[in-house]
Order: sequence, then structure tokens, then C-alpha cells
Amino acid sequence: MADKKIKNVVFIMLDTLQHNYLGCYGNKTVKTPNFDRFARNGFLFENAYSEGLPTVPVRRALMTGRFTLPFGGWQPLSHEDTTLTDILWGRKVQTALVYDTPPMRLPKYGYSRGFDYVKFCPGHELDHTTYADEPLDPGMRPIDYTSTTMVYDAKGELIDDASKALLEEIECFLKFRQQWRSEDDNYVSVVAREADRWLRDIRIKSRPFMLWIDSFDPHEPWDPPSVWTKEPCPYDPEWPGNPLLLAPWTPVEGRITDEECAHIRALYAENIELVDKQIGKLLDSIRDQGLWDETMVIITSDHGQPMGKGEHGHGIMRKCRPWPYEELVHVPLLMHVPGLEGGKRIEGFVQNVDVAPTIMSALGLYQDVNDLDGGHGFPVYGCIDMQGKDLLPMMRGEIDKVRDFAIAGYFGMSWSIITEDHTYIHWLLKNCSQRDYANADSPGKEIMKDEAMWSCTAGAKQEVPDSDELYDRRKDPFQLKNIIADNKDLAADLLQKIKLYIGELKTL
Amino acid sequence: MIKEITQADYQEAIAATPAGVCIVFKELCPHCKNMEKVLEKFGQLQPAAVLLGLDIQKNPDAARALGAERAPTVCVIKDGAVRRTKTGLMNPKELLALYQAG
Repeated sequence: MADKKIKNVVFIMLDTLQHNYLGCYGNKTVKTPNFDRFARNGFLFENAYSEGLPTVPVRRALMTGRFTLPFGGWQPLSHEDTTLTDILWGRKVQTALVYDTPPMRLPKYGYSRGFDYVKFCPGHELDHTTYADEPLDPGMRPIDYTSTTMVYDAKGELIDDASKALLEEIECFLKFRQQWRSEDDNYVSVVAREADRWLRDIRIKSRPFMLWIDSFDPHEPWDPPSVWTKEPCPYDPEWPGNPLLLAPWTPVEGRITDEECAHIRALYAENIELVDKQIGKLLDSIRDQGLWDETMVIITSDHGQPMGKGEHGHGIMRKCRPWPYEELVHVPLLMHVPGLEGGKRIEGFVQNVDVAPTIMSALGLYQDVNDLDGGHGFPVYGCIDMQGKDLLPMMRGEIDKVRDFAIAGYFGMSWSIITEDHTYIHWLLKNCSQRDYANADSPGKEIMKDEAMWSCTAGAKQEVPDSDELYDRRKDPFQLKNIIADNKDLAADLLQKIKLYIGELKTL
Repeated sequence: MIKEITQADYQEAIAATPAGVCIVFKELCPHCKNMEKVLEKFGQLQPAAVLLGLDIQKNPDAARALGAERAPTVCVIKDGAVRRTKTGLMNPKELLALYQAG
């Protein structure tokens, strides 16, 4: 089998990397030559979707190979979860995690569990308060790095609590940022360099490895090089205002202008250019070290980012609502697989839960793990609980697809089913905030406990709620024209299908 | 293999079951079809367990007598009597735990 050539796996997670900002996914503006080259020579998955959003449940699904949408949202790994590193322990493969993604570092959440080597690089969002006590260069004022009209009202008073939080967050970033001297100090640059250091100097070279690199860039703050060199942002060179390092988590109407949203997207694009450059250097290093022909490399993201109106975010800034629209849930997924001829674009639906079984398969441990014995009296775990699918058969051309549709959403708040022709969104709680979904005791937990969701009385019929949404995926991929009123039967079929599937996942 | 029982014979069938599970189902309920697959997997884990099925729409009185108001509901049978009932979806491991607790 071709995958016997694979000795190692490098998994690269780039948080908040929206698929349609990459050249290989059709973007004509943003410069991503390294990702584009990687895709041209490897495998590009056209229809990859994260299932349960946002950051934390995506990591859980990636690590366990199990769907989260029917079971839980923003919550710690549990003792019942079996992760890749739980399985790889005691099986020769050394494991390493190099990351700066603070939600993976949340106290007691345990997402660094089981790695032989862990390197956390500080300072990114949520970890920014680490620098709160540092004195700030008097030449750096937080208000100079955002829009005054996002923060203050006409009377010059703070608009709301989010205004105060925004300034405090920017101040902490500046206290960290003032120590940087070049783009080599940017978050992604540090993570890529630390990952390279592990590959070159720290790992045991006689053993195979699985290296998980988790870069929080290009997640905000939107702080690409032009912000610090005082040069125009190359994607919005005529912008007359302050740099927009951050913006409030809020609907944009009445708070953030269309021009400000466009500038945020320009800074985000420039951030992606830097991520492409730094990850490109890391990929070159993997080649230089002679590892390319024996190392599977996977590049993906957890989600995109709402940044404005219409296709840019359906009217919100950042993930302030649990809305599983295309710009958020459709993710890039690229792979280099030694021994397989690349240059292929795969159309079949895949989900983030498929990554774990694919990694295990690449390492030759997917089929036989349940028969292995640790040999020393302690439990050794296998892949028996994984619900995802091994994607190698699709890349080998043996099969065209592993599933007929994808699902996405926020636990207890929104469900979406994505088919070739349509997307259907079923709202459980539409207007919750990030504080609701990023909480282990979210209101969705109570909703999902309701047995009415999972059982029915003798005469019960399926009703399609008026608030649900249906879109023609071929004509309207970014879900701007709701056609549910004219397609009630189709909507009922899709609601039935996603309920059945989520129910089926609860039985697996 | 799930043996379907009815209003006419459910009492006799349960009384004759030393250990098993009865699923109360509705014919057009998709989650009941999921639970039938769970029962089949459970049956592989516990080959000695008797598997029974009762249609809630055709046999409402029998379902009520078993404590099932909704479908799917599983009833754990031990020594010829229903010891536990649980409504909703579960996986084979959860059903096994319910069965062993009963």
C-alpha cells in the first residue's frame, strides 16, 4: 500500500483561516503562494466542513475523531474521550504539540493531554492578560489602534462594556507587541520557528512522530506588518484612519461602518499573507531536513470569520452569534501524502472528524489498534470510538466519497446540513452570544437534554419552524437568499435528515 | 433479531424472559430505527439477552403498561419483569450499562 511510505505526520492547524481567502480556493487577490504550491502538488478538499463550532469543540473533534454537535460544545476533554495522543502512547510514535492557541490552553480543559512534548508560546488573544502589568510605551495609545466611533458615542463616553473591554485588550496586546522588532516576532513566526526547533533539535530522530502545530494566527488581532511599519496595508492602501487592531463582538449595523469592515478584511488578508510566508518556510525546512518523502503534512483551519455584511459575515463582526454560515464553517483542508501522486482536488464532503482516523491510518495504526496490548498492565486505547472516516482511500482514488452530506453548527444552538444542492439551517437558539456558547453550562445544554428532541409521541408529525432557512447552494453558496417559503417539502426532508443523522451519531 | 410482541402476548413474552430488552417503537420514527441498530449491536455484546419490540401505535395500552409514553423507549427485563425503562437515544455501551444496572 502506498501509505506504508508514511513514517511521520505533521498536522498544521491555522485558526480562523477562511477558505476563500486562499488562492488555491479561488481567491484572486490575497497572496498565498506557499499554500497554493502545497495544494497544487498535494490534495485539496473542496468541501471540508467543521462540524461543531467554535475553537474548542473543533479541537475535540480533531483529537477524538468524534462528532461534538450532538454531544457538547465549549467544554474540556473528558476522561471518556480517547484522543490521538491517548492512542499513540506506548506505540513508538513520539508526539509533540507546539501552539499559541489560548483556548487549547484553558485551565483544566486538557487539550495538551498526552503529548510527549508541549511548547506553549504566549501572548495571543485570551492569554494577552499575561502582560497586563507591563508598562506601556507612552507613544502607544490603545485608542490609536481602533476606531473612535466603535468605542465612544457622540458625547465622548464609552458606548458599552464591550468598548472598555476592547481598549483593555488592545492595551495588553500593545504591551506585548512593543517588545517585537520585526515580523519574525509575530505570533505565527514564533510558533513556526518553535516547531522547526523541535523537528531539528529536540525530537528523537530514530522514532516516528506526530507533530501538532496549532497557530492562532491569522485569528485577530489584525496586526500584520504594515500596522507596525506605518506603511499602507497592501490590500487597502487608501485607508485614511487608524489601524483596526480589534473591533467589538457585535452586529455591525450602527457600530462598524462598511469601510471599517472592508479595512478589517484587508488587514486579515495581510495577516494570511504572513501566515503563508512563515508556514512556507517551515514546509521548506521539512524538505531540507529530508523528511518530505516520509512525512504526511495536513494543513487546515477550524473556521472562518464573520467580518461584515452579506457574504462577509451576515451582518456581524467576529463570532458574536452562533451562526453556521458558509464563511464560518467551510474550511480549507490540504494534504501532502508521501507515495501518492498529488495535484488532485477532491469534491466529496469531508469533516474535521475525518482527520484523526486519517492520521491513524497513515501511521498504520487504524485497523489494528483494537488488537494491541500495552503489555504492561495499563490500559491502551484504540480507534473503536472514532466516528470519522479514513480519507486515504479517497486520495488513492479507490472511492469517490465518504459521506453524502456534511453537518455544522453550534451545540444546542444551530444545526446546518450541507448537501451538494442545498444548505438548511435549523435554529435552536439563534441570538445567543459568544458568552453563551463559550461556556460549558450554555443554554444549549438544556435544549439538548430535552427528550422531545429524541423521542416522539404516537401521533407526532415533523414541523418545519418558520424561522429555519434554506439556500440553493449552487446559485447562492454564501446563503444570502432564503428560499424556504417556496420549498417547504424539501425543507421538511432536510430537517428530517439532519435530525436522523444527529440522532444516529448519538447511537454510535 | 428483535421479536415483535403485541397487546395479545406481551405479558406472556415478558414473563418468559429471564433477561432481555424490549424496545417500544413507532413505525415511522427515525430515531426508533437508529435504536433498532443499537439493539442489534447490543445483542452481539450480550448474545443471551432476549430482544423484543412493541409498536406504540398499534399497542398503546401495552406500551403504557410497560411505562412507555414516548418512542423510542427501552425496557430492561430481568426474571420475567420490567426493571428499568429509559426513553430516548443511547449507544450500545450506554444500553449495556443500563442492562447491567437492571
